[in-house]
Amino acid sequence: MDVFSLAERLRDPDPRVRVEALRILAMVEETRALEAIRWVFQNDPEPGVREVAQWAGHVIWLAQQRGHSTQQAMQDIFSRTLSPDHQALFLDALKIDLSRIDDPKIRQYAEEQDYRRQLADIMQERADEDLPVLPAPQDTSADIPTSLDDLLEAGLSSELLE
Amino acid sequence: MADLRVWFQKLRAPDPAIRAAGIEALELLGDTEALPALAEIFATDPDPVLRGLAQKAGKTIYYNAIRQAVETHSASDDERRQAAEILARAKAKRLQNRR
Repeated sequence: MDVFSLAERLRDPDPRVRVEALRILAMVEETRALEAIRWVFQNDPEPGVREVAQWAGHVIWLAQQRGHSTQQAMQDIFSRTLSPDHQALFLDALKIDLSRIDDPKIRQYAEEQDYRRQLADIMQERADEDLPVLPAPQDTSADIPTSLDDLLEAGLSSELLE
Repeated sequence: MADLRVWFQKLRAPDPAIRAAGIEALELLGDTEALPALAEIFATDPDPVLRGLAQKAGKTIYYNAIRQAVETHSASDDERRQAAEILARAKAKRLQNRR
């Protein structure tokens, strides 16, 4: 929905669209729309729409009286930080509900992705405890020749060293 | 655009807690298509807490959309000129590649 089309919607031939626009403008307390709403209240052919316009005008007028303005509202919203609850909700909203995917190919792909993700999570969680540890090498240092003479004696040809 | 139907269904649930969850999810998704549904809750829901929640969500979505639109349309002359030059170079390169 284009938020800049709301004023235009107040002139829509369908009264339901006009009511919807009035309700949105009231909800967001759009003080810039007060004059347009006053016009609807005075001139709309539908009594039901005029009634909603009266209510919307009252809501916005009250907001204006307590100092609300579009500019102030934008500043207020951007100075708010996301609470931990909202962060958790946001992450939940990102999760894919597999049962709602109708296309079998897409569902199968999503299920495979989900399986791989779960597997990766399990591997990550158990990386420090359950994975088998490689056996330590046996202590054979006594058998390994260390000097060049010992190596030659053990069978290493001097030609290999040239 | 995200499919909002699942959240719109929650807004019609008899349990206010489910309606509240739907409102909060719509606020987070931030899609302006949710404004009519939120406005209906704001105007008609019997629960005043939910009306308040819907208004808060609606305002967040609405003023975010306005701010984004204002920022998009308020580029300086220099920024516009730079953008035009980049687009012209990209177009020239595309034409060159086609030949």
